[in-house]
Amino acid sequence: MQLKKSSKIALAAASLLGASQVSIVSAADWDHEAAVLYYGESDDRVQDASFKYKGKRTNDDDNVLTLGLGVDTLTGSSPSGIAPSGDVQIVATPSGNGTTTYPANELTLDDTFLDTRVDLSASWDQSIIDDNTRVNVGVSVSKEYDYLHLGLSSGISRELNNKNTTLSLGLAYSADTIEPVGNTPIGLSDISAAKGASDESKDTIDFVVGITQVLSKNTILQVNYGLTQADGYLNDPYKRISRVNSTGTIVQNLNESRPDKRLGHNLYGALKHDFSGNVLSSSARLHSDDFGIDSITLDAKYNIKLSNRRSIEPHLRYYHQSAADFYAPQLNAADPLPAFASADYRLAEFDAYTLGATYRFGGSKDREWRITGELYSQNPKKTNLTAGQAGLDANPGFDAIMLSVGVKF
Amino acid sequence: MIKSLIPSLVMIALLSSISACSSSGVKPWERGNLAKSSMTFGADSMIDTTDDHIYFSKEATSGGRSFGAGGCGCN
Repeated sequence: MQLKKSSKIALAAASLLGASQVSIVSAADWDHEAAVLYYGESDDRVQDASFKYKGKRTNDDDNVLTLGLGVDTLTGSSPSGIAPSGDVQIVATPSGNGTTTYPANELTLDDTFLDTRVDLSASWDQSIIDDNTRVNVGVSVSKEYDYLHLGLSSGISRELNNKNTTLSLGLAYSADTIEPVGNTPIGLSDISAAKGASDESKDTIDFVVGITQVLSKNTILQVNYGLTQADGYLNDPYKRISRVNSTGTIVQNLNESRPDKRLGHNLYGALKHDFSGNVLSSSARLHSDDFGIDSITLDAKYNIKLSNRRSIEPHLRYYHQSAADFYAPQLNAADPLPAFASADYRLAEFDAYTLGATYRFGGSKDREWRITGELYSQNPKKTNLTAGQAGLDANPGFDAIMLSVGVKF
Repeated sequence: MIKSLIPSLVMIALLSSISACSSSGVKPWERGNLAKSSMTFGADSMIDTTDDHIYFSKEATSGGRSFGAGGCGCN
């Protein structure tokens, strides 16, 4: 492996100083990674262009400082939750600053969002007590026009059994604040009703315990259990839900409403196996939470070595989730209002597939480049609306393309 | 096409783990393959976190390999 520039300088300095003073020379190294990403959904829905950077400094004592920066620019449109209709609909925007006209017989898309998100993170990882035990702490902050996230994380890991087993424990806390444009809507109130506070908050605690086990000289396994509890404002302030009568006429549009607590469990297993230089990375995740959502995720990547400095890695992912207990594409106007209701397409039952590949190749000065292209397809379970909305679909699903170029240097 | 491949991939993963269990207790000098970055969990953390953030924005569940992604009011 070619020595990094700082190591070369350190060695050169060491040789000038003489062997007796070599031990005082520091050779801390920085590893950098940067990437640009484009994410684009079909039908002019969400488009995202982003830049990511990560810098990692490892010092002589094997302490690791990691710094991260990300910038996302979002445009496009997102389903509003308002039911589709055979009539043109003119509806007040979520901000209350104007109206949106939804064409007849089409999905109602809110095209008023435009946002830039900046995130920063830093973490420190070092050994304590002995070389087999490491601790890490991290902080993160991200800001959008109407959203602020502050996060803290910590973890400890210990290697056992001749470094064949690693036990790990992690705890994270995040405090998020949302300031919806035009104040926070009140759950299940009419969209024209007076709004509530100018901002709301959400606290999330994550706990993860895991084991990583070397199974053979070519195979390694990881199993994690995770628990997540979120408290506070869990609504999407820009999503609505319609009350529709039996003939398909929309009689009222309401702001959505979700419970203010959510407890979720994840069981995750990942396996890597080296097939004579080609590596299979596979994982499975089971999730269950008290929103009533269960999901399964299966993921597989197969890294095929093309030469010493080139490889290609096909990627396949399958995801299925059940609907939240309170999900409904629309409400029956003849029924009493439920305690909670949301028509957010992300809470519906659906299958999703990702198919793609990453091509990696070595560049000059030991740089490692990658180009990734993936297709994502979300396919919801079909739900029937009323007879008056025959042929209309409240949640048709979508396809997305993900393209990224990254470099490690 | 994609659906039909999934059971095969799961079987490959399971069979790999079962066959591997017969030879536990890897010695330090046998770790050549395990030391490769492609055999390290989290070696491509930028890809992982970017993917997790996209899926967090488009699906109702997140997390697993690490803490749940998030920190956004995603559309």
